[in-house]
Amino acid sequence: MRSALILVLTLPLLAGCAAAGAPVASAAPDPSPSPSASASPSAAVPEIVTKDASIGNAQSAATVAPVRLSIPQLNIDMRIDAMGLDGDGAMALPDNALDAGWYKFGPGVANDAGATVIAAHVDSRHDGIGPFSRLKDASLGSTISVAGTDGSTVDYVVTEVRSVGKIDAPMAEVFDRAGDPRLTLVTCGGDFDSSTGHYVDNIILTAIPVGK
Amino acid sequence: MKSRLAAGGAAGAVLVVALAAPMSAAAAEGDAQLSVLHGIPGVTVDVWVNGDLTLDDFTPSTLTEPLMLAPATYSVAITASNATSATDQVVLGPIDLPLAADGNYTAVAHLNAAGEPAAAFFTNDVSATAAGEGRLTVRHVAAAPAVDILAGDAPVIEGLENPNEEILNLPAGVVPASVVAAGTTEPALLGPADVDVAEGVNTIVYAYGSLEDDTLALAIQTVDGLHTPPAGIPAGQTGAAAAAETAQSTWIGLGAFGLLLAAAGALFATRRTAARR
Repeated sequence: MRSALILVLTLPLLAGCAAAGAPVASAAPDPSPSPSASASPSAAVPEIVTKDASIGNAQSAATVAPVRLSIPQLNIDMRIDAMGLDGDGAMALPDNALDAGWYKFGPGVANDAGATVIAAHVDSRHDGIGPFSRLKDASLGSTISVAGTDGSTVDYVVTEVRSVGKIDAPMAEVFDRAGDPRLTLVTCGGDFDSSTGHYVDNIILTAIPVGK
Repeated sequence: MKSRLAAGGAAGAVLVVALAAPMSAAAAEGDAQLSVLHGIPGVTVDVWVNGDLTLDDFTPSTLTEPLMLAPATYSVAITASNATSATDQVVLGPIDLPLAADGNYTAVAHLNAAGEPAAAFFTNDVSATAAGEGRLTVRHVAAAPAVDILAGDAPVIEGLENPNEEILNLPAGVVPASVVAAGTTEPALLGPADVDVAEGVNTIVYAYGSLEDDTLALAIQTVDGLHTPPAGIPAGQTGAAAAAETAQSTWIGLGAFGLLLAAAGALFATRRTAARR
């Protein structure tokens, strides 16, 4: 280590020598014709972002889980549980239609990018018809507030409400982790197919953070 | 280690690694991604790509962000940090790195099993992970014999040798990982350390340094965006919401008389709901 430091310190001296007319080596721009690939002969060392890869460094910014959802226009005020997947590889939801679930593998509150996905049963065997049955009636421009575990609250405005057949439901889009930060609320809608025990549509509401 | 490094410095030889060169200002379709990790303790190096100084004074345990490079074969040389060209005080190389379109690679300057500087060139697995899962890649780039990797007390990777890798797809979560000599469970050469195997991310753990010199350490690289979305969102169970909807529109169609019925029906529905609770 000590020797490496010394080498670094001597670098400017060596470069100075070269500039003074030493026959060969020159640290900076090569005066000879540059290969076609390097377009800017005067370019110094390119800016390359580096970071300390030591395991002690946090791997990624902690995700803030949402814990409360409020939509005054629809008289909705629900608890949010962090949820993963069910046995069929679909998003798991709280048993009660009165509670909402947040897809814990995706973006959280105040995320930099992508969709924070919160869903709830439109109706449930446990507690009947839930608040999300009113999701389809949300007006564009309505306000939605989401509180996080860290005590923060993010306000959103509704920009789109649509009904999509489940067969065509764009899951990759709903669970997108890139693009502008947004809130996506999902429930079921349309007709209920009693032969399968499932609704045929998904109601998908999109909202964007206020001020963005 | 100190003696080896000192000797290397005196001879004018220092370190490692590979990198990127004709870097376009903006990423283009089909660009390969190349990251560079410095895994040789105690020395600072320069990295030259196609003859151009690309990483100046690159220090141990440092990882570059991915460099976006047009697919091609790049010539990489690693020199002492005071070298004046890619051919001055060469430590490693030049070596050729063939980068394929859309490929994702990591070049690592490290010590081989015998403790000599070496360059390893890995292709990172960026295939999609299953919903709910993450990928754990472990790379042995340390001057040490074969190792096992334990998750808690159980070996999950056995007999991993420098400069090889092993890849596991796991349910997302934190893995308490330890590195032990192959065939043993203790003492831990490294760790235990909590490794966050995040969903949709390839978390790549490097064991680097030297056992003999007591400089073993872990470095981490992550490649994200590999996630698969859930298969669907089944968010209804009984059909009650649809039934209520249908009933409501029917009543509206019946006009004023229907409104009376609707009021009665709503009362009834409310009682039923209450009863169900």
